Formats: sequence, C-alpha cells, structure tokens
Amino acid sequence: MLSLEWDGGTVVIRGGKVDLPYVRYDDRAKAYRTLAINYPDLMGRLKAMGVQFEDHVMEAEPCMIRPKRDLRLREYQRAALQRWLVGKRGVVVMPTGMGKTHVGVGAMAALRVRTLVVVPTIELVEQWADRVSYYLDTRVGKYYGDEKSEGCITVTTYDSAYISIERLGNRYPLIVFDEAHHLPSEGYRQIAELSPAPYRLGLTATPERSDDLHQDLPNLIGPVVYRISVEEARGRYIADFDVETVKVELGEGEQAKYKELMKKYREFIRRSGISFRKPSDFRVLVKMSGRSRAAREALRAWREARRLAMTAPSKLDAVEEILRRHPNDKAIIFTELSDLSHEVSRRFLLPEVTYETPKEERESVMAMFRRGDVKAIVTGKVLEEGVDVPDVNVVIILGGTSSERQYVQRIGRALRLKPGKAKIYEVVTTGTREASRRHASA
Amino acid sequence: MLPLNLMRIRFVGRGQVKPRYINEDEVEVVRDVIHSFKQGVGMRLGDVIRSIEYEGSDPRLIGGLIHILKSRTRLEDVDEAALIRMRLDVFREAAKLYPATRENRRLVLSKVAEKFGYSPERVDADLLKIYDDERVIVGFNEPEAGELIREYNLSLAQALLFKALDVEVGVEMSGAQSKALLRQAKLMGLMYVAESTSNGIKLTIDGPVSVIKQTDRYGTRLAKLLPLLAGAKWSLRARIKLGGRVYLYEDSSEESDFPRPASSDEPVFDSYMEADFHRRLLSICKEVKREPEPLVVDGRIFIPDFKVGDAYIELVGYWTPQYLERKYDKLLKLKIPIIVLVDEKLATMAWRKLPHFVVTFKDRPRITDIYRLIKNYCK
Repeated sequence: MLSLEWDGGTVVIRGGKVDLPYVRYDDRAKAYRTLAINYPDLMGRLKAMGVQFEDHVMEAEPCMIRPKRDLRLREYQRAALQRWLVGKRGVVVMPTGMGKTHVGVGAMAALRVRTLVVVPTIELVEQWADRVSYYLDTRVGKYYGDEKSEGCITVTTYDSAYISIERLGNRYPLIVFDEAHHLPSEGYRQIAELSPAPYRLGLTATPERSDDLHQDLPNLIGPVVYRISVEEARGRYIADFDVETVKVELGEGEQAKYKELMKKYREFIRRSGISFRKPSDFRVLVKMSGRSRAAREALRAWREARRLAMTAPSKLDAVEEILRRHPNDKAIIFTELSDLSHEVSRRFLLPEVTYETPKEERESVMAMFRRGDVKAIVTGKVLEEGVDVPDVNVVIILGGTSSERQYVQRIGRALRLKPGKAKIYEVVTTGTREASRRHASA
Repeated sequence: MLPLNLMRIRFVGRGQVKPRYINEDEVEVVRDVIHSFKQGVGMRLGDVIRSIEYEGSDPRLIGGLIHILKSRTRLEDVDEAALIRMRLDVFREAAKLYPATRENRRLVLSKVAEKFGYSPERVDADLLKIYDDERVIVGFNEPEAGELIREYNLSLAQALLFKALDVEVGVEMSGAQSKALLRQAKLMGLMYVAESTSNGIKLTIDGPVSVIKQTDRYGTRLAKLLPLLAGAKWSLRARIKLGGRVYLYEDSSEESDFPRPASSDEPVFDSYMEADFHRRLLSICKEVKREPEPLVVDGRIFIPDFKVGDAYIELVGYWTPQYLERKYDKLLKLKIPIIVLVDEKLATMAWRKLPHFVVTFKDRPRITDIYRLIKNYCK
C-alpha cells in the first residue's frame, strides 16, 4: 500500500510508483517525492482514482479553538470572508486601515483548525497575537527570533517562516499570509511551496509587484476572491489624506563643505576616466581604492558628502517646524538612516522603534504610543506595514522613499484615523544628490 | 559568518565564481583595522567604526573585518533594564512638553535627572547607550593579522555558500571527523550521498527539496559544515546561484587558508563497552585505530568501530531496534569483510548468517574470542 510521509517541506511517497507531473523519484530516499504544496491535489487524485493509501503527512494533534467575542465584521469584511470560504483558498485585497486582520480572524473562527499566520514584521506578530487572543479562546504562539513558542494559532514572520516551514509546515492546515505581496519573491514563496496546508488566505492592500511575480499568487495561495480599492473606500470607510513636500537646504557651512567634498570626488572621477553608466561602474572605483590612495580619498569624500546630505541638521529644524504645527496630533517619523533616526530621537527625546530597539522597550513604547503617553515615534523599516495605531494622523518621511510600495504602505499608516484629514510630509534636501542614491547599493 | 551584503567575490572564466580572499596588497588594510580597534579602547564603538569606514578602502573588506573584530571587542557594561526605565521616563516627560524644543529639552532632562539622582548631562549622554555603537570599548582581544585573515577568508567562503544549491566535498578525514560532519548535517535536516574515491570519500550534500526544485535554502546550513573540514584534506565543488544564474565554486585545502583546528580531541566512545574493548585491544596490538576512515555502503557512510592493521572490527551491543536494523542492513551490503562481535542476546540466525566473521559474546566482548582472527594483523 502507498504511504505518504512528511519530510522537511516535501511529501515522500513510498510503496509504489506515482505518475504525476509534480512527483519526482528521489534516488537518495529510494522513494517518490513532491513539494508539500501539491499535497492537497495529490490526495484528491489518489482518492478519485480509488487508490488505497496511508496518510501520515499532517500531524493531527487536536486543538481547541473557540470564539470568545463577537467579531462584528463590517459589511465588506463579511462579504470578503464569505467569498473566501467558498473555496477556502485565495487573496483578499483591501486598503490598509480597513481591518484585514478581522477577515483573517474570521477565517480562523470559521474553520477552527491549527493556523499559521505569516507577517512581515515583529510589530505585526505582536499585533496579530493580541487580536487573535482577544477574539478567540485558544493557545496563541509567537514564533520568531529567540521567542519560539507554538500554539494552536502561531504567528511568525516571513523570515522565520522561510527557515522553519520545513519543521512546522505539517501542523497547520490553514496558513494566512498578511501583506501577501511579499510572498512571491524567490525566497519567501518557499513558505507556500513547502506548506501542505489545504486552506490558504492572503491579505494585502497592493498585490501588484513591479517584477510581475504577483502572477504566481494564484498558485501559491489562490485567486483574488475579493477586492476593494482605495478609491471605492475613501471617504466611505477610510480617511482622506494630503501630501506635502518640504524642501530643506543645507546650511551655508554645510553647503560649502558638501560642494568641496563632491568636487574632490568628481575631479578624481574625471581624471581617472571612470564612466558611470550603470550602478555597477561604482565598483570600479571601489576596486581602485584597494591600490590607489587618490581613489581612497575620492571614495571617502563621496561617503562624507552623502552622510552630510542625509543627516543635514536643517532636516531636524524642518521636523521641529512640522511637530510644532501639530501639537495635539499623533505622528510617525520615518527614516531609513539609523544615524538620522538616532539624531531625531535624541534631539526631540522621542522613542525610536527599530530593529535595534530592545524588545521590552519596544513593547512599552508601542503601548505608550497607543495610549497617547507619547505623541510621536521615530522608526525605520520596522513599522512600515500595517501597524495598528488608530489615531496617527501625521506622517513625516525623512529622505525620500526607495519604492512606491513603501510609499503607499507608509501613507497607509496615516489612513487609520479619526475624522479629519491626515497629513503626510516628505522632507528632502535640495541642492544635493540625495535623489540619486543608487550608488549606495553598488 | 559574514552577512551577504559584505560578500566579496570574483568571477573567473566559464561561469566560475570564487571568494575574493584577502590578497597581499590588502594585508596593510588588515593591520590598519586591527590597529584602529586597539587604539579605539576607551572610545565609542560607533566612532571607531566610522573612523575606519571613512578611511576609504573597499567598504566590503572593511565591513567584514569590523564584523569579525566586533566579536573580539568588549563594550562597557550597561544596566539595560535600568537604562530602559530611564529612557521611558524621558519619553513620557518629553510628551508632556511636546514637542521638545531646545528649551523644553533641557527641562525634561533636568526633571528626569533629579528623579534618578544623576546630572542632566549624564542622562543626555546615557540615553543612547542602549545601542552598541554608542558604548565605549573597554577591551579588545587583539588577533595576529594572519589569524584575522584566516577567519575572514573562512567567513567569506561561508557567505558564498549561503547561495549554494548543493555541495560536493571530497575528503580524506578520520572516521570521528566524518561522523561529526554527518551528524551535524543530519541534525540540520540535510541529506547526503557518499561515493568512495581513490583517496577518500566524496559526499554530495543538499536537502529534501533539492531533488524537486533548485533552491539555496540549504546554503546557510551547508556553510556551517565548512569549519568542520578544518585540518582534513578536502576539495569542494558547489553550485552557487547568483542573480538568477548558476556558477561553479571550486576550492580546496590547498588553495585556501582557513583557521587551524582546535587541538585534536581524545577519542569519544559511544559506550563503556567500546572504551573497555579498545583498552584491551591496545594491550596486545600496537596499531589500533578507533573510528578509522569511513567506508561507503550503498551511498551511505559506514564507520567501523576499530581497525587493527587492515582488519575492521564492529561491536554490536544493545541499542534501539531501528538502530540495529540499520546497522544490520549496512553490514549486509558491506563488500569488505569485517569482524562482527554480537551480543548473543541479539544474535539471531540472521546476524549469524552475515557474510562476515561473526563472533558472539556474552556480557562483554573478549579479545580471546577474536585473537585467532586478528593475530595476523596485530603487530
């Protein structure tokens, strides 16, 4: 008789030949093998063909999951959930701030099976765990970093799940991907591929990706089953917002210093005849710096100039100006530069929430921020997506953004607000080459 | 191991890639960086790092060296819990005078300082000590330049292996060392196939998914195996996936200079019975090898317990049924004759019929039982 076993993100089939396009013979194991994602289809086919088999894939440890409180889904949330429940596979597209989490908890309450929730950030792990515990009577685990506890419902990050799916996968018949646009990337997609979960839910505000990989979402999760756009929702379900670009100039001394450094850099480039046509040309300079003192000097000048432009003190003045304008609002200040982030935190005595922030402090700070005991926080990438601070209505972005998705997500922060307008400020330094940051990644 | 963004590689002809190990020109940079850390004792870590970064050499080399040297650096002690309490207090007070303009900032710091019994300057200075970069270096375990270069080179090769689809290693190593290697591989959920070669064994290592789909998900784990080759003679062939293309990375103990192994360890025995038998063997034969070089049986590694001259000896005592079954299977397929000592409680007909010299024992194996078989090998 055929038997199916779980083995590190795959299903091993012993005891006979299986002729399906996604099944391979594995000489190492002397058995057939397929990716775990094919498990539901494989089972379906074997049953349809009337083949007898022993199934040891899913670990059937029973779990108690009971509703604790009424979810009170809004009308569009209920519609989304019902569509998803038809096939129990698929993606729900909904702008940030409209309660995607509720749809996810609704799916868990309806299916009542062990569930793995995959989210992009630690903040979201905490947030989902809180939300699930609030509505469901069950054991909730958090699985990331050093904290690795499993529950009937386990919340984990994409990074942790990528590694641990081969151990955890077969315990969770339902898998929920929050901010599901992350999933199709070459690494993260393996979370879906190495999971045998027959039930899959994806949640996102923006499924589209510039690399077109969102075309794989139907295979990895399922088709888009429900979609409501920002335009449809604006004014009806979510607040409107304004964007204002604040241009700051370097101070006189800084300006002079910046020009001097850039001149030094450009002169070397001209003399050495390096041409910058593509970002990788920058490497030529880096390579030269190994041998030539002048190249080393040029590189050093470029780096200092860049730092000067990015952490310009006049940016801090601009921040002060904006904060003064909103003494009674809640604000989030974003910057990707840790130096600048430290500087803002220190100057205005505001908490920083970054990957460097110790866990205890981060938790206290977020609680204080929700309660209003602090009015603004400074952060890098950690908070970018879907963190629930209901009444934030000022967003300050320092130093421009690197991609449109991040922009939308950041703006999304501001969309969860009380009546009134949200305000987004983007602070950029003019007269510097800050806009063309591509060298930095070369 | 270095983070990927600090990886230095060079592409060589026909789709090959190699780590860009430290070359002679760069030894000077290595010395400079070590020197900066040494001089940096008493300074803030961030300042020391920045001063090195601004020096202008290849940022990946510098970054890599800093990454390794950080672990040799001791930073000033900070009572993190107390510091967090103070920081939270500062944030709370600052919110009452929000936004903290320069004047307000002074007021907030004074208020918190009074509460904690420090000076406002101290509060201001301590505030950022939550971050490593803001702490002062109090000690530095200075390495020799050569030592750091070897550490760096190993880390670099490991970083390249992060992107490996699979690894093929040819090794000449002791049974104990190969056992440690395979135990580690198994612990990490990897799979291997072994072949014997003219001078040792060849192991092809990857994971369950590899047979279905090209993936670098085992790369980090494969990289962790690299230090376990230290001291042995080895060669390596890895397929590396970079930017959607697959490159070949070849290396060997001849070509690369990695850290020397820690002092050779005493033989570790699985059981008292083995240790006891080893002692008895040594009392009559000079040339006794404990866990000799591995043999290959049907793609798997088999490491006999002892080798006396050219004769292999395997002890079979009580163990789990699965273990015994696997051992029986391997012995059945082993083409090289071996002396098998079996506890008579286990010695069913199947065991007695193995195509080897099977000797049963009661309670414990005795030399006299096998003396006849080994005397020609025992000198």
